[in-house]
Amino acid sequence: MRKRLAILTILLLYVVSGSAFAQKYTFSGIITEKSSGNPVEFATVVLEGPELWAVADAEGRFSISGVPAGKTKINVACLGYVSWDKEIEISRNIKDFKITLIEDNLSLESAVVTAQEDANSATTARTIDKTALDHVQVMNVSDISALLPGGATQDPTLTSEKQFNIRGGNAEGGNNSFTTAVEVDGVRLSNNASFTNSSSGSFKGINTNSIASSNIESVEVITGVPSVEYGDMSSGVVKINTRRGRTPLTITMSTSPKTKQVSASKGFSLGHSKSGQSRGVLNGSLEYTRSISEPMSPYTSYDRKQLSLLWSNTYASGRHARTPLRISAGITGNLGGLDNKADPDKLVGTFLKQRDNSIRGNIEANWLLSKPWITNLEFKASAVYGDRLQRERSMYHSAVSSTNLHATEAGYYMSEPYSEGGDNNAVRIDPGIRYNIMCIDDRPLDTKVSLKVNWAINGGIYNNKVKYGAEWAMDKNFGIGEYTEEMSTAPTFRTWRFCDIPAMHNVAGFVEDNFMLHTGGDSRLNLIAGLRWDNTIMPGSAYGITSSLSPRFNFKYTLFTPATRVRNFFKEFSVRASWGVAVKQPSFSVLYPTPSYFDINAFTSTADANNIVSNAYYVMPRTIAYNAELAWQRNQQAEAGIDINLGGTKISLAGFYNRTLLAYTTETFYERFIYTETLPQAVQGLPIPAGDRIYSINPTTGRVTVSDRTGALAPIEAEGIEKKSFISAYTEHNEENPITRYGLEWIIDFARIKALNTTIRLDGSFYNYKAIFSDLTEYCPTTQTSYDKSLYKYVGFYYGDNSNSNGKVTQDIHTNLTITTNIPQVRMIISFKLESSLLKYSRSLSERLDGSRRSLVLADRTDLLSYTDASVYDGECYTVLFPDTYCSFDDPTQKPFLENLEWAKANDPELYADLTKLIVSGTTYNYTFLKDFISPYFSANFSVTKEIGDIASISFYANNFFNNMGQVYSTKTKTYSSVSSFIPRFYYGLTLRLKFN
Amino acid sequence: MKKSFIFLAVAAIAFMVAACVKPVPVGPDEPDDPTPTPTPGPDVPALYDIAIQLQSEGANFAVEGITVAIADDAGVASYDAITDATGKVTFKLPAGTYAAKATYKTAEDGQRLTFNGANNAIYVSKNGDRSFNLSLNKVVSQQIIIKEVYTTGCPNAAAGANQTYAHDAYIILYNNTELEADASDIIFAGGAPMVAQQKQNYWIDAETLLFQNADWIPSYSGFWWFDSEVKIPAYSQIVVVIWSAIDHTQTVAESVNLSDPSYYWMNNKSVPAFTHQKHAVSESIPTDHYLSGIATNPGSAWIVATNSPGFFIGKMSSEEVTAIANAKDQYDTHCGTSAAMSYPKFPKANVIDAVDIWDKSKEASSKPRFSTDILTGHISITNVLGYTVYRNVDKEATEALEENAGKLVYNYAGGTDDVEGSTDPSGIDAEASIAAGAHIIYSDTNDMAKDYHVRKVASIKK
Repeated sequence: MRKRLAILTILLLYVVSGSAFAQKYTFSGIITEKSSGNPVEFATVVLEGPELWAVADAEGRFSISGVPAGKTKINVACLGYVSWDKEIEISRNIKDFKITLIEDNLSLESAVVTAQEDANSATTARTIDKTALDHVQVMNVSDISALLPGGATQDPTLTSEKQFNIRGGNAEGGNNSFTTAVEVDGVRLSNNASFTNSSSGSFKGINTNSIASSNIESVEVITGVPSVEYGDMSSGVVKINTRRGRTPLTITMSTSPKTKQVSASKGFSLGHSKSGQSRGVLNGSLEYTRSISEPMSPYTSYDRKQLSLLWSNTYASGRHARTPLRISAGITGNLGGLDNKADPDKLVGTFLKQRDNSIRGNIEANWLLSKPWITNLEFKASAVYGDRLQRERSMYHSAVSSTNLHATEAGYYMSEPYSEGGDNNAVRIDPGIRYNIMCIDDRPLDTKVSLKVNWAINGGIYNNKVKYGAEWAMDKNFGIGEYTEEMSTAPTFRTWRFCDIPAMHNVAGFVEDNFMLHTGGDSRLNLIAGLRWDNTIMPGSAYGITSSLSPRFNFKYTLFTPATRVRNFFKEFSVRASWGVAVKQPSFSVLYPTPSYFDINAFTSTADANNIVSNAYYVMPRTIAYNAELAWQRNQQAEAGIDINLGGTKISLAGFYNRTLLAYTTETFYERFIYTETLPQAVQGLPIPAGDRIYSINPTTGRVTVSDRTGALAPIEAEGIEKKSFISAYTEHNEENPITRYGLEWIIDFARIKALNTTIRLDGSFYNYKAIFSDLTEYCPTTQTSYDKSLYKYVGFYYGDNSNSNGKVTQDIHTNLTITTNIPQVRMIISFKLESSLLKYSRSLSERLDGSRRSLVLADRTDLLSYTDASVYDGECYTVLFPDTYCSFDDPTQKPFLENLEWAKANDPELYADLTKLIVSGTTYNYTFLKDFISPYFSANFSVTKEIGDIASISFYANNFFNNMGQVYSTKTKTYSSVSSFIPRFYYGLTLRLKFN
Repeated sequence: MKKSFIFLAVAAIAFMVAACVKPVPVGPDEPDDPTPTPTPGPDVPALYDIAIQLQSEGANFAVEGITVAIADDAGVASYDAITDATGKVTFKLPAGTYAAKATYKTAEDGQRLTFNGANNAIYVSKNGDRSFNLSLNKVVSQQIIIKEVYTTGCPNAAAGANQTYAHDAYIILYNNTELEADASDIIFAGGAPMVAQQKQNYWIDAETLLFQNADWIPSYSGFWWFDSEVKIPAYSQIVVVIWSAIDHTQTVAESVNLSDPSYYWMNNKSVPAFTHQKHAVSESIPTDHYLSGIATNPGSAWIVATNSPGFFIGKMSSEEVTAIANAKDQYDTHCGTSAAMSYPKFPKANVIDAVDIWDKSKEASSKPRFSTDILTGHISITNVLGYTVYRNVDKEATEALEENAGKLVYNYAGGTDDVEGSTDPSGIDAEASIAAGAHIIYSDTNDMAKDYHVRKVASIKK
């Protein structure tokens, strides 16, 4: 630690020394629109080197003081205009610098409809702008994944959840989508406070359905190693920027077979105060989107009704004349969710309604202090509150009385009729039909406050930017969890109050140095080093404080850029490399899995003449075993990239190698338990008439007593039997073995064919995933009986998993050929995209980390002990998996399995019969471990956008327009299957945009 | 001419008189036949001692008391005799050509054994053979057959339009013979796979079933057996309830009452895998009518699927079948689409009867679950309409029973010929006939298509 601090101190002294000698100037000018000459108010001017900025006033004027001498890049941006940038040398005060902006529309040759590499970034980052988003008519922001290298178009409905998966797949270990950060206007959308994002032991990222798509201005996707200011993520960052600033009234109407959308947005100036100070700009947008799951049955629907207001203002006069302050605040509310009530295919009177309401607000202040020790101070605060109430009305029908359990304390419970105000631990419900509405109230709140200091130093041949900051984030759930709207008819459930779970706090600090050395011409060296320190605190919980460090490094060397080599064939060359660690905080569903209750049926009476049956259960709360050793999942990311431009053909390559460490997962373990069971035989035929019986149970011993309701006969204790059983429990833990992903992404933008106004892009990705699970897995086939007919009394301990494979490797090569013809003269852009899967490979693995065999190959399919030394990977074979060890109910000591199995075969037929039930047979198929290559498949998309003057534009798309419904071949199973499993069906959509200036 | 006519008339009368002499045969039941042997002469034909030995499977069939009937080729004269302890009868016959036949029925190990035979070449002459053999063919048929299967559920109008109910399944076992049957060692088991349309690997190709020539069939899910002695009287039945043995009509009017004290119940409490609280048993059913079981596959599926069930009954002790269930290492693993789908091998020799019922809407993807030596064909049914699969009547055999005279009810209208195109071709209304006191013999050809039809209403539904 001391060593790290010493290095940091030296680094700071070095950059401070540079700042001491720098001379400061004023840079001012005016920004006008090229076609009309009108001033462009609210245009933002940024000097990237010293990180100084200003906002143009109503006359288009701006002024930045304190600009150090040297080269710097000016960037001017304003919504609706093409960004302008230029590198200039500041060596004196500059006044009346004239900048003209061009309106952004399809009359420009530069319009693109693909993701663009961020040339200034030292890591891989790509941006999709408004033109591209409009062109492909994004309804769900996660659909933009199709525009990334090798991205594939997905089914466009909103009725199923969608997540971002950066450099990862859906059916993989490591919770990839959960570890992908999504931000809208700097506000992090998080699942940390959610209790409902787990599924089969893995954890999902945020559902992007509730993010309005119509007012998105751009999306930036950082797939490489991001800045240390980004925490609580480990797979990448998706930054969604909505429209802000003064914009014309825009009305959009979209339709496709599954989705309809109408939206309106406008940004307008609030005028000026008497003192001449602008009151800022308010941008509002309204969107209504309705999506159905199936056009043939358009009743199950997802609605999104969203209102967004964003205000921003810059105070750059008076006392802020030299230290301008920009403040923005936004609020977005969404009402909507899934509803299938109208679906006639559903049982009448039943429904499922899932709210997806949310409100998020944020405030952000940027204060340009321009001090020698501080350049810019940035403050951010945000809160996101979700209302994900799920209400499901179901019908229950039973021909005999049923018992529904609500007890949360351990003990035996006999079913009793519902009692208003009673304990109702085990409610007996009479035979017949009933309806009940069960609800899950999930109301997560995620708040975050951060303060960041930027300190930029221009030392002539170098720029050095230091940013350091601190942030506090709090996640809390205010939902009351699972409950019923009518207790008397409720099915078995237990209260699990999310709101009783303490909040999770995360306090983080970070420091990053971004050093840029200009090495002549426009060549430059960029080094970034940063360190993030996260401390997660959960007061009142078993977890305590968890700290983690995330160092990250980026390197980029730019030899030359097209700006200075217009006439050269070799126009651009830059290389970059990054390495870093990113840590993902757990969500509440990781930390606090839903408590489970093991309800053991201890008694079932015979049915009386009215079909009334009394049931008793032993309720065993499976207290969550909070794993105090649980560590936060992390990714070690490494990547290298190269960008070159040869004769106008731009080639971008990025290779990455990621290791997911300590992935969150759910572990099952077994405990021994002895209980008393009373069978129907014990009460059948008792002298007390069935209709007069009152059954009761001793809450401790489980003994059942039958009493006579009339009092005529004495109570009778029924004969119970002792049962020994293993019962399962769960805990969260970390995978011991890392999950590795590596791959290569490429984008080749061929030089524009001017004669045809056409550009051709060839992008793609190679992706390799490998995971081998090595944790010891416990398994007891509790539905089996032992040879002596008792409940099964053995537990096996398996390496990795109790299935034939304990891992998987996949490889994919996806490529896209995009041909875009932009005809500025008619303001039309047409694109054709051929998506192809050239390699789709997977193989199940069965391995141990030390290289020894796990699954064994059988010489004789019918003899599970005929295992050989052959490898399961050597062609077709039948296999068997034995647990490493086992234990019995009576002897918890783990014993070697195979050794005892072979002994039992010769000496103890009963033990042998029992132990064979722990064997995982792989004798069904002989291709389990064969390589599976899926034959290549293709899908073609077509999109066209046409602007009609300045007032309207219309877009049309047709995905899979050849309606490819062919088949693909699997080399593993040697069978054909429909390609529809991999590509969406033929689909089309139309959007009309009207713009009123 | 006139003389000739008189001579012929006298000869004919003499012959008829001779032919009407009754006590020709001499057998053990009539050792002291008082009828004198007619003296051969010009008007009385000579009689010869003839012995007929019953044989079966190449050996003498030494069973006493079997009636052997013999008749001349003109069909004018016929005689009976009963076998002695060696399986032999003797007759005194005039010269001529005769046909002898015999039938013997018995029961053994739950099977009805019928020995049938005829010898149409018994030539009696002065110098001819005096000893003949009558070879009996052994015909084995089951005493206990599956009479009715009700598993696919019924409408449940009270729960709403198009709602259904399927917790009321049962099987009827029937004694198809005149001999009391012992069902104590009957076991129930599922055919594999569980549903007929399920993807499976037993069909290697369109023509080849993997276990066609094996001595076993795969069994799905588990085995059930009676825990007590169960006897089924002649031409009688027992009802075995698969799910809840309660009066289902209390909540589902379209369902059936399965709470009758005579019914048997598969006790799910005896199998950890099958424990399900919706299964209940009425107080009225005695505990010795509870069946026990053992699960052989993961999951909580029953041996009989609601949708397209296929199952069989076999004869085996609970200890033997438990041993098969426990011998996991002997399970067959060819069928499945997952490793969990491995099935115990049940010996074909112990199979008594089987049914293969398909979902009518999924016939195209369904495949037979039994080898043809066990069962051929299938029957298709539309689910959840309250239909049952019911056995057809063996018209010829049933009508042949003398005690059925005047008791058989015809014009059967219980089939689904109007909707499913299925009815009992015999035209005999079995249930109405049974109610009238008739004894029904059901068709038992081991061909589902011939032996069963789809009945509109469960036979036990009152």
